[in-house]
Amino acid sequence: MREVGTALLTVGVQSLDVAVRADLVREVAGARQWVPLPGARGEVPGVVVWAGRAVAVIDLARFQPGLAPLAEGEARPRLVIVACGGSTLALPADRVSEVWKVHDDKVAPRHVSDFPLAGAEIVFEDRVLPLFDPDLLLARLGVGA
Amino acid sequence: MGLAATFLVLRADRVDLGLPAAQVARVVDRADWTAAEPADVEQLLGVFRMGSRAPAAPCARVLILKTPGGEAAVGTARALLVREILVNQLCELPPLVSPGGAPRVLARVAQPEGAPPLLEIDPAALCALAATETPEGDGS
Repeated sequence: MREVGTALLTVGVQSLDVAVRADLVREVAGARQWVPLPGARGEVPGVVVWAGRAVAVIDLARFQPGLAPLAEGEARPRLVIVACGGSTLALPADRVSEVWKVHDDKVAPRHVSDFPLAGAEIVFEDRVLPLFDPDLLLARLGVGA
Repeated sequence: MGLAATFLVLRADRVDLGLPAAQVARVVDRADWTAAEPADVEQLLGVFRMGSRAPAAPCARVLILKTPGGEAAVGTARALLVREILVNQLCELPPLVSPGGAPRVLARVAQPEGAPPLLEIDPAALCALAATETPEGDGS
């Protein structure tokens, strides 16, 4: 019988923890220097070259009030490469969990979390984690999903 | 070794800004330039917003760029370096970094091991942007 559930990774930036669907994750790399783009908006401050192509760096801290934005030249200890629609994104992170699985009945519309890139949240043990939604990110950035 | 492209490079704090050398017609000392004050490359690109350098350093040299319509001038206060990059290291920038259909002045990026990354400037797009800006100090 097929196991029911959603495979996830927890991606952390400072005090923010976000669940990311494992099937979107292409790689979890170590700290990587990124290339700052002149005049770039804060949410997409630069790019990294990954697998022979330039990938936009997304600063999750920019979407959550109270967190320190990624500083120029700052490389967080992990770089999570995520598929997002037809694009690929790089999420600098302070920590990344192992893959874990949650039953689908633990996924609910977002009520508790105020993370704007999540349309749903995971109720897991004694925690509530926002579930990162790439389409919401693209919408926030003004890019069609 | 593969095919290499040659760039005239302005070195900023964390990145080189490269103009394809084949599209730079000539470089003129600012003291020898008698036409209108050229727009500063870095101001056009918004490098100052990166906190890279205090603004308003006067241009020291003028770059005459070949454009589809002829030639256009831009200025820089920085020293110019010549740098070669393997063509297979140059990657197109993703659309996500150009919000709302903003002009793509930066075309490609290279991030070679052990060397500063390079952002390739599209000279035609840079000149088009310069034409829409009023250069600081241009009293003409």
